[in-house]
Amino acid sequence: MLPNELRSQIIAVVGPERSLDSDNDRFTYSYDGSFVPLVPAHLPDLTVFPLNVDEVAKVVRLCNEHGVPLVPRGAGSGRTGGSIPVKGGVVLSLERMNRILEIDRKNMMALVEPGVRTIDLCKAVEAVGLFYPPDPSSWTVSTMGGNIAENAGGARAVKYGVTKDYVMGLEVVLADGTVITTGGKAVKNVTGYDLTHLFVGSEGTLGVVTKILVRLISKPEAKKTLLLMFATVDDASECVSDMLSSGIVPASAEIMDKTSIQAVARFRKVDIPAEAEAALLIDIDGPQKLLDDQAVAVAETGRRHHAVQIREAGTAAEADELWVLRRTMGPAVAAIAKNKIGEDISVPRAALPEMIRRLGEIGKKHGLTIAVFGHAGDGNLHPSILTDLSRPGARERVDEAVAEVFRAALDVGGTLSGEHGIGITKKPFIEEALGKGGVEALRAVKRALDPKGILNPGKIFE
Amino acid sequence: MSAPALAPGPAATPRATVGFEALMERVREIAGQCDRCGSCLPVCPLFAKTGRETATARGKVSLIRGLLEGGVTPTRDLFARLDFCLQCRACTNACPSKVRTGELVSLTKGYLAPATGRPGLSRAIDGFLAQPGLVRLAGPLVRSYARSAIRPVIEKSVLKPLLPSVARMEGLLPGRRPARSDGANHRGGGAGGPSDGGRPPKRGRLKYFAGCMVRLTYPEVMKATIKTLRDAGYEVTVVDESCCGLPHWSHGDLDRARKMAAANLDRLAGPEIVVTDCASCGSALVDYREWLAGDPEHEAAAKELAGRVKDVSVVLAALEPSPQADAQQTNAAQAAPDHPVKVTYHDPCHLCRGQGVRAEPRQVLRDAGYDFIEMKGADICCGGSGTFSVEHYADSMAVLEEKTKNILATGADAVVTSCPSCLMQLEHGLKRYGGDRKVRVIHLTEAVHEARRAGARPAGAGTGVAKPAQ
Repeated sequence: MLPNELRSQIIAVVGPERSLDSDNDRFTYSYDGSFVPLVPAHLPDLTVFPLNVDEVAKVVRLCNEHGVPLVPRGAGSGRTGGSIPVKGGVVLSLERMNRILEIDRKNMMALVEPGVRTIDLCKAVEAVGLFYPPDPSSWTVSTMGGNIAENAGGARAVKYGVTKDYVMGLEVVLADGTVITTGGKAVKNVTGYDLTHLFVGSEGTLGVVTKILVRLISKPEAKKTLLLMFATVDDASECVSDMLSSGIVPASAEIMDKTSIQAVARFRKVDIPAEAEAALLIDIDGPQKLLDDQAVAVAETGRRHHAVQIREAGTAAEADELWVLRRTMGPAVAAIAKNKIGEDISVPRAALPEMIRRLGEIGKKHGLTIAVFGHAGDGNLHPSILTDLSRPGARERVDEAVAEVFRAALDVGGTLSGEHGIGITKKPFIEEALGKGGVEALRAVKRALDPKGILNPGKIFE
Repeated sequence: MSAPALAPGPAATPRATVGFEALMERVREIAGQCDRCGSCLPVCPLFAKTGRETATARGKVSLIRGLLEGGVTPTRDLFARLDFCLQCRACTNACPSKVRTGELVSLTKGYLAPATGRPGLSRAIDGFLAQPGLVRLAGPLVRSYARSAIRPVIEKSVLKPLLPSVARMEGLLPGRRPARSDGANHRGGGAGGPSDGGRPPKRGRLKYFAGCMVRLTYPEVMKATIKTLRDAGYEVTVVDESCCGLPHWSHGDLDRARKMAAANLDRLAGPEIVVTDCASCGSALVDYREWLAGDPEHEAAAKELAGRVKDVSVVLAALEPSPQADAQQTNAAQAAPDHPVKVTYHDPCHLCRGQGVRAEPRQVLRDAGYDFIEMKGADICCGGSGTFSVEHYADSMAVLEEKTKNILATGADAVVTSCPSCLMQLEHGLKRYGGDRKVRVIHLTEAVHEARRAGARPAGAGTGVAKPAQ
């Protein structure tokens, strides 16, 4: 519980109109986009909406002085419980710090506040001929701050990399309220430890990011979108693997199985051949004059792997429609079952066909439907276990299956999380992934930067 | 692509909600479909203004789920949070799983109301609208009050001290609008002649459902609708004795809404197309199939009605455009110097998302010879939403201010829309935020009727050929 005096002091920093502490308000800041149950609720004591770094620093300092948990939050669209206030305390919502401060065209960089939505940055820079590639499926909602905290990926990662590959510098409020600036616009920079990348993916446990400097690249001249259908998931995953090893670098290569496509088809018209069990959604981009040859190469690879249908989007609108299909897949898959346990494993891309086969076996063994979709091009899959947890024995079967999925991913040289982070949902498995020594190193960093353990406690590791 | 589309899933079929168990089952079912991905956040007009999670669909669905699972208590505050909604359906539209938050919230309010009570204003308005006789009596009173000289007196002396929210609503009532329609008699059947010249082709019979708000505050719209349809050659029967029940449904007075729906099913029975010029009434008539799902007596009729309801723009758009639209526009401009040549269009939520009608009103305006300019965010809610604008005046105005700016930015002489609630709200917005700019706010049928009068051509008389039915 928040002592009354501290509550008043924090409210005084941001003002009562930007503070929420009624029961129903608190309930709506107790969840994120993960499958962590809503009840029992992890209620914060107070949610505040600072407008600038000074307010953030003051709130952080107050919480640190009193040893009260503080949980930074963006849009609450995370998938692993990262912004759930599991130990109560103060939720620090950065949603209203949402200005794009600068688009520096000469240096090809942008400086933004953490509450800027990913898609808004993408659109703003594209308007001046530049390109910010990281595109998590949640980009219409997700904030840049959240993307930094989770080191968000997206479909374009296969060619362009993930959030960390674009972050040049940060302004961070440390646990004691100190404001530091890391990195900068200089492309080469080895001035001490690379603190910038220490904070990227730190899930709000090491500091509160208040400004973000990202590099941009030139907008690709043109783009083509192709949809390839296959009679088996195996054909589809072998096709991606073959495509990449033969030198084709798609901007995105998304795989989806029939269950996933059917989930989306409940709400929008999707035409697929009767024999199709899997699809690949491929984007290629680059100079216009090279695209046609690339499209031919993609189609040829598809045919070598027995594609039952190959379709190229004729217009930008048609391409967008295909992409909406993919981007809405996660939530749509969730809606077809009482419970969806969505995972985010990432494996070396050569191991993708093997991993998908193993997922099929795990599902069969436990009598569970596992829908599979994900970023095949970079080996990042979102297997989703579909079940009704209220049925007797379901919870146990799911727990076993999840553990086997993680073990299989580690076994083929992969890891627990490609782009969603560890949060609380994957915490039990982190030691298996990193080893005791590895987790102890994380703890050492945490202790050094947040000795009182006030920043987003209970996340990543115990 | 040649292959058949996958069959649409259960989400497309209305589910039973009649009876407590069925209601709770439906509430559980809808609430369980939300993945909390947050796709609804960026599109919620109230979230954009307040930044509060409880304003969003995700917030409301989660509260309801919390209520079902014992983490949220059924309080007056909970009812108020659920009530803080424009019912614009932008959330459902953006939702990957099309979670029907509007239906969910209405049903939950219905469940909560006996325990928490409902806000006094909703109760009063719902009670009033449920009495056709009272509404009929009040019509001239409301109208003459809205446009009379007594208004400022009443406003100062009676209303304001009495009830602040009613006083604010009073501010929303339309002032004196320039009467433009010629007085078509809206009572009785029989085909009316075209306003001037030309014989309209015979096109069959229509039932026109005239909602309360059109009758009460915009009788000139009612006249224009009837006249436009008759000019086009339709035989129009007016059904004007009842409320569609949407206010009651939205406020959680489910039983009364269902009774009104059932009564309207009887009134609207028959083979005729049912035309509406109120987006909200239209969407309610279509949604009766959901309100009455599980009611063996009315289910089938409600489903059947849904297939017969058409917004007036859809009927008008199906007529062949006049081949001389350009010439007509010139005529229009010459015949009436203040005739709005440049127009923009505001999509009522209950038309664009409620009934999927977006293209037709624009086409009708272009066909009528107007210079049509699309505004930014045309399909974003105006913030009116029935009693919302009264109960949450400041938030409603925040949404309206942006809408008004977008209207003004088009430079249009008039903003056209197809919903009386939007008409009232937009008029208020232009009065409040429009400065010196004179932008008229008119209903689609008024716009069509004015163009016909100015151009001296009956609707659809260009070729006399109707387009294939849609």
